[in-house]
Amino acid sequence: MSETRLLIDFVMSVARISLPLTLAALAGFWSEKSGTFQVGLEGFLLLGALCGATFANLFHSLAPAFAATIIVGAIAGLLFFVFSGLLELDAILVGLVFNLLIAGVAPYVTKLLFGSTASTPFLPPQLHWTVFPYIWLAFIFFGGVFVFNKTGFGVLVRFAGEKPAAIESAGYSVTHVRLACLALCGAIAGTGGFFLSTYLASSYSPMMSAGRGFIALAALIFARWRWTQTFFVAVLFGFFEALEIYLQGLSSPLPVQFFQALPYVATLVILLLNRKPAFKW
Amino acid sequence: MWRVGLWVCSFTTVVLFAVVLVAVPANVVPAQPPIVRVGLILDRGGKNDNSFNSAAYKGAMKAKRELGVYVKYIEATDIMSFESMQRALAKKHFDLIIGIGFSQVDGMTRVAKEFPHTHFAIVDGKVDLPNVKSIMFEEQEGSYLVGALAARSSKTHVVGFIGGMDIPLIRRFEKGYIAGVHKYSKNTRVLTEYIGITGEAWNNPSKAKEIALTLYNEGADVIFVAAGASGTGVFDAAEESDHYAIGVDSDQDWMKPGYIITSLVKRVDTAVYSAIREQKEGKFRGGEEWWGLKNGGIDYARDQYNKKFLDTPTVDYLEQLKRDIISGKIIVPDYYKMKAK
Repeated sequence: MSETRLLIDFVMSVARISLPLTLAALAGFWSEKSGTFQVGLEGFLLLGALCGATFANLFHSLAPAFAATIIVGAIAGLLFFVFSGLLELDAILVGLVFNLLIAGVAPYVTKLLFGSTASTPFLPPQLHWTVFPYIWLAFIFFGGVFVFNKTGFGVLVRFAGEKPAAIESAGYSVTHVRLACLALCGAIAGTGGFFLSTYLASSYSPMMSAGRGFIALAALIFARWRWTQTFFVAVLFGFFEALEIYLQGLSSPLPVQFFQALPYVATLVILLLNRKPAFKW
Repeated sequence: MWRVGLWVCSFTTVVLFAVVLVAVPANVVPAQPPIVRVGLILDRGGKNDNSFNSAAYKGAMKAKRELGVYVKYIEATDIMSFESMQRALAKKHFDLIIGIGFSQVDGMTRVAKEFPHTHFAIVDGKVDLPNVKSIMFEEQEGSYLVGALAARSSKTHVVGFIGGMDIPLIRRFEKGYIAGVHKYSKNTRVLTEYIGITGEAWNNPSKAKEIALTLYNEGADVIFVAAGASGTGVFDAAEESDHYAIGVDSDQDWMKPGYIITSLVKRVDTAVYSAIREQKEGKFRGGEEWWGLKNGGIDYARDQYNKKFLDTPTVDYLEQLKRDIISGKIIVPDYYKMKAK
């Protein structure tokens, strides 16, 4: 009885921790597959978290807040593309600046709306989805499998990243494909942030993305930009973090740092075991 | 051509944005600054962290109201900016510059040396210079009290402790808490977890919530959290799974009424106010200043939100412990001194 209970708790824990990671990693997939290297995932997550808590506070309801977060995320993706695509700035620089911009704008927004540079007010407990986040994740995952493998758009995305000249000569616009992918990326990563502040916590607090965007990026690169693998690697990272939390609680004589390092050590070991030249553009 | 247009558009956006950012805070500065000028540099949590920085801000604002001093506060966003903020205030001839949080120690050590005639105060850290007042708290004493209360409130005989970043200061909370738990009951187990080993640990409520849920699942029914802004995640977990939590630094009982048994209160507001008053009255002295149970710098919170947890026998018990600690009958283990041994 107690073992099953423990196992269920652990699986739930892995699911919760992986949720924002998987969404961010799958979001990054669209951007990177279409040829825009995406280091702005951290910023998209934070933006989503900010929007989620802010809109939920303003609307007193989650569904419209969710929709609004998707819209803001998509707009942020478009904005990203204005700089990285239209103005042809280095995508890595744009991403880094984007992260800083969001981190800087967030306190300003919360100050204007809630009179506080730190966190938004708490959401009441009834504003709390418990099942929908996973339905949404499944929708994003299987939807992605379908779109990427079975539709013309999927083919265009592939070519936009690997052979942009080919789709230009076929009469399509690389710019349009990348633009759509960036909007998609912003929207999906935004929902990851939305769950971070409304499902995994009940308010927004500064920098609450806490490096998850970069872990998601690592998962994406680690999985060599393959959809299903990306999903599972992100879950694997979630697994190790849950394991870290579980083992730390067992009051062992080992120092805390040992457990804290576990997810990263595990990542390194797997990387070593899985040593092949990474995907080339 | 359209490319030029785009550049112009983006440039205009940036400029407009900058203008808005600069224009709005400009109204806040008063026209005539009074004689004593106090600069307050808050840690990354910001003045509304409902914890440590909120308390410091409150103390400074009280001083501004009651003593008529000029107070300028700055919120740091990253650890690298402390030193330049301190130097900027010193260059502008502020009389007293107060740094909140141990992260400001290194910067202040350098800046206070450069400006030997400016007064500095640092909370939660020690700078050994004649013009710096190092304000420190006996966190272990309060942790001992809330530890005893946690053990007294626990039905499962398992309680938890969640620390933010793994630093000596938080270890001090932990050791005092464990001693308090064992004072009430030797059989109560304490499960300890830390959120992280970097500064992100202070701002990661989702991970704090996950850790709290794990500890509650492992049998703990009361968790004491000392983790800055991450603490709210533990309160969420307590509410969601119907368990209890203990807050820290400021009185946090109001945040989730009915789920927060009490809070260890660190009167950073009193300490900051008193430093400003000394400056105003010309009695400012450098050196260490300790705040503990005996001078009211450390206490446990009692208000309308946690009445149901603190019945008369419980309060009597805690007050007795408090008297014993003050009189020296109970010696609470101090991590700082444990390390020295």
